[in-house]
Amino acid sequence: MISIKNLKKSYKGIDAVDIGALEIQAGEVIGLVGNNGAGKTTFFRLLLDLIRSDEGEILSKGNDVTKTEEWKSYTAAYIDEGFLIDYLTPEEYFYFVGKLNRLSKADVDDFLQTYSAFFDDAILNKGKYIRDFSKGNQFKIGIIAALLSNPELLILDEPFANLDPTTQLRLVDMIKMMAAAKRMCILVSSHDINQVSEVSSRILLMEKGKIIKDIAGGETAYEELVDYFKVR
Amino acid sequence: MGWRILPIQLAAFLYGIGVNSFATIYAATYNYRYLNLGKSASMNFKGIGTAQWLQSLLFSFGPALIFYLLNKFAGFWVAIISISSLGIIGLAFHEMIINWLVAQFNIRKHKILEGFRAH
Repeated sequence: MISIKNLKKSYKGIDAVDIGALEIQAGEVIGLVGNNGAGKTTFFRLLLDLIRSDEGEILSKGNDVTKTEEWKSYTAAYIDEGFLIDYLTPEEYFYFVGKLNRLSKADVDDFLQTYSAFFDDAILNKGKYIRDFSKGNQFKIGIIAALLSNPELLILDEPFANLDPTTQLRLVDMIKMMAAAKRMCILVSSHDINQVSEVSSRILLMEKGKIIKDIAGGETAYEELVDYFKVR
Repeated sequence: MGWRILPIQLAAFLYGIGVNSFATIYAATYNYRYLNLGKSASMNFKGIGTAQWLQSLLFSFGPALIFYLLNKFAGFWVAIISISSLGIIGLAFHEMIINWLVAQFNIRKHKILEGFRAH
């Protein structure tokens, strides 16, 4: 689904992202790990055409993301609070995103119903604006809004970092379910090598903008990651 | 003035929809600063730079000046019809104009995104 060639982005002479070649297939759950400044968020922003690369190209289903707009109809992401409209209430925001995806209020309501456990009674019917919610709850809103569009490609930047343990485990289950049920491609970045090994089918380890390890997920992946991060 | 206020308001109405709406969106594509709508209106002077101030001046007094000059040198009805026509042309070509505005936005998109991230 995603094809990357010679992708380079540097800030003030330092490489933020330097990926020679990368192929991501539908059905994969990619866990992106790396220390701070490794380039994970920059990489996601490049994938979503939020930053312009210095060199190289990113193809989504064969089309250049910087030149076409079709990828937007099957791609959804949550990177940071900037993705939210903080002067709306969660309901207003969900209805707005619903409208963008041609969903009626009733459709949105049905959808939100299925995630009532995830919300844990902290989000809906609170009469608060999104800006007044905690960061963790804002993340919940962002993730669910991303799922509202029923995407084929889902990108989440460090979702585990901002969620409480119960919600983290719920998210892991949700991702596993989505990966099994549909032909979705999910990209998740994280500092939590536990959760990432648990949920990913493939793990990419980034350091200083480059992908230095590309391994299959699971138990051995966890060991390898612990090895790498311990030495550092 | 009396009855003249009615055609003037109609002309202003048409101009507002057909020209000013698009001009405002066009100016917005050059806006690289985040405006925090969460804060109260009174202390929100961060978004009001000289560019914005100049813009409001131009958009409200510009057509008024044109109307005044046309009214003085060509007559009341010429002025009314000119201002109204500008608005009607804008409305008639709205699809083309919107497409052009979207293209303009896409040209400056990354700069706008960068500015909005820094807040």
